Amino acid sequence: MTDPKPLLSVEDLRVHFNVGGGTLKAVDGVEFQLFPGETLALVGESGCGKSTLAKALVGLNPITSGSAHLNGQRVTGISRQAMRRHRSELQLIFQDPYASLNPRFTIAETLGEPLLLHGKATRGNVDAKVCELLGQVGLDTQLRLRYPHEFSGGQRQRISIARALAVEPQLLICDEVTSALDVSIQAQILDLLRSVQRQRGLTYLFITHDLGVVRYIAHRVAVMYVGQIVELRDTESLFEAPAHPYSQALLRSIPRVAGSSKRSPLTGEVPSPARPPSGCRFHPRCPQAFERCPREMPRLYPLARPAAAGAPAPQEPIPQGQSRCFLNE
Amino acid sequence: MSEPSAKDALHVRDLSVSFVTRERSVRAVDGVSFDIEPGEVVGLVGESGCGKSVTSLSILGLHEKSAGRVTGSIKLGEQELLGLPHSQLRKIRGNRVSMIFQDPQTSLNPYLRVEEQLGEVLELHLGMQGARARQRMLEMLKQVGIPGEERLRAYPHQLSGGMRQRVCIAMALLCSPQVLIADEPTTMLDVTIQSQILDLLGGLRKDRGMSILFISHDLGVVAELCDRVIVMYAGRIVETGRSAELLEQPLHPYTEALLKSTPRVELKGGGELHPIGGLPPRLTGEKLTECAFAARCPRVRQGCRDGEPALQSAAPGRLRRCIVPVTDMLVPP
Repeated sequence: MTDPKPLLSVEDLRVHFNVGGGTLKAVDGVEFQLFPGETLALVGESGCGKSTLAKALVGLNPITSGSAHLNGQRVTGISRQAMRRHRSELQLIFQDPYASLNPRFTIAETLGEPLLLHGKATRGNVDAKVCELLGQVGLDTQLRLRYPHEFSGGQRQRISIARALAVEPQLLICDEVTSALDVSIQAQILDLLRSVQRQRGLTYLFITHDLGVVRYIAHRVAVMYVGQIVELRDTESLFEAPAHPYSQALLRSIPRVAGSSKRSPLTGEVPSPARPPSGCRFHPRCPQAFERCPREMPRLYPLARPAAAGAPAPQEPIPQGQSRCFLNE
Repeated sequence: MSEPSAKDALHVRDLSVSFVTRERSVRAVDGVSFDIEPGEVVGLVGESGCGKSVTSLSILGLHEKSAGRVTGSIKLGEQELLGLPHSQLRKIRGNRVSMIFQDPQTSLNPYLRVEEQLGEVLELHLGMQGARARQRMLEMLKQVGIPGEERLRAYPHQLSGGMRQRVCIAMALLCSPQVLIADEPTTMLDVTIQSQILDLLGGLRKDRGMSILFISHDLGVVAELCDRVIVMYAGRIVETGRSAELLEQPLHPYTEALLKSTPRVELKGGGELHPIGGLPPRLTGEKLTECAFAARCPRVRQGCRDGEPALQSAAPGRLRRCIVPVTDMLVPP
């Protein structure tokens, strides 16, 4: 996996909504690249735009400007018809498996539909394919004639994953897929996602607010704040030495099971994307803000390359880290 | 477990709660006993369906009366709460024992301004009205970090999630309760706001000597805030102890498994994850014939299936419901 060509590249993407006479800039100039076989986590607090971004990438949110390319082909601002073709390359899994499975379809029907629709199976072999998928996500093939309500939350999430895998995608966007699950079940699903990634060389865009999960599953992390990426780093560098003051504050806010408590909460609240602060969007809460911060918007500045320590990312070398702060200029 | 003493804020003895429907009966809580001292913060942890919320709701008689059957004893100081008539319980709720919930949106009346919500509590319990009540509300809001008179005029929808939870906490504290029951109060909040609320609760306990029963599934939050932890599984207590000790060295395999399946932000690579296989047992009204965790336990051995172990002392200040020798728990399974 030394292919340096990105699987997904997002360029200056903006998703703005018109609300009550104003503009809500939910995603405001996001730019990143995702390489084959890696897991990029998108983290941030409510309203930072992480889910809006994910939906925009699959055409569920209108894009105001900018673009995204998958395998060099544009996937934003195209017709529904054209998007359909890309569905087999890019799949989305949601937080709530209760809401995303059709309650009137048996599991065999739920999994069979995308298989037939995308030509991954024929009437003749669809049942065998369904069994194969169930086996891959660790579910008993005997259960395929049952309905979603007969399964637990964790099992339903497995079914959602199987359905996404049915079309043999290259990119899986996971939006808070373990947030509704108990930790013991969450651990099962995280392990499943990891092993599927190994077997199929899948690429994940993994959206979550749980930084413990991020450290476990992600190779790289994009930290978002009020519609923008403020830091883009390889995971261990971020957790060991976060560069942006917001990432630092976010990591310091997490209660830890072991070790001394070094929590030092941020004051104030996340500003509304409808009324973002001037200049750097974090400056009103930033303990290190200075006179330039409210006046000027910082760009993403490159950071020094990380030492070779930590889990090896699938692509070498690890893309350079970036931070949107004048202190890193 | 020691005899209840008068100095304890809350004693729960042999609490069982069953829900009976036409088809089946479920014993959601089964023989739960614990005490909370004044000024103590006790964490009640476990996964969905372990009975932690049902336990907390029964203290104030808040679960569905029609379906639930509650036995045992719940004492606030010297006073028995179980079996108290509705009218008596109302005098205690929000006054001597208060409760805050996960979702502040649903605990506030969307049609009432903050001052009306808070004013109602003061009038009902303390007969306080007018300027004095207003003064008290402002003091309380200031304590929870909401300064300024204009917030009194706000409706819940005009406040952020963190602000709403602060209003709920202010409302819960207006009458200076001895005990605060907090059911996952930070689960729906962002981490930076959660951090603020944890500091607030920790400070209130220190300043007022208030006892807190803190229900949570987040072991990190429990480690930070709680003095003691009670771990529940399948409706029963499986382990208790001081939080630092219990989380550092669990003595029950379930607590151990729970810790090992939690991704750890402080460990490189998030630590190693070991999922717990299988599912918790179905809780029928029948008595268990084996340890409730036996079917999923990585340390299961002969004897585990012979009957349910009792909750017994395993070390000073530590209780657990397990027959695996303590020395075995010190080495990985």
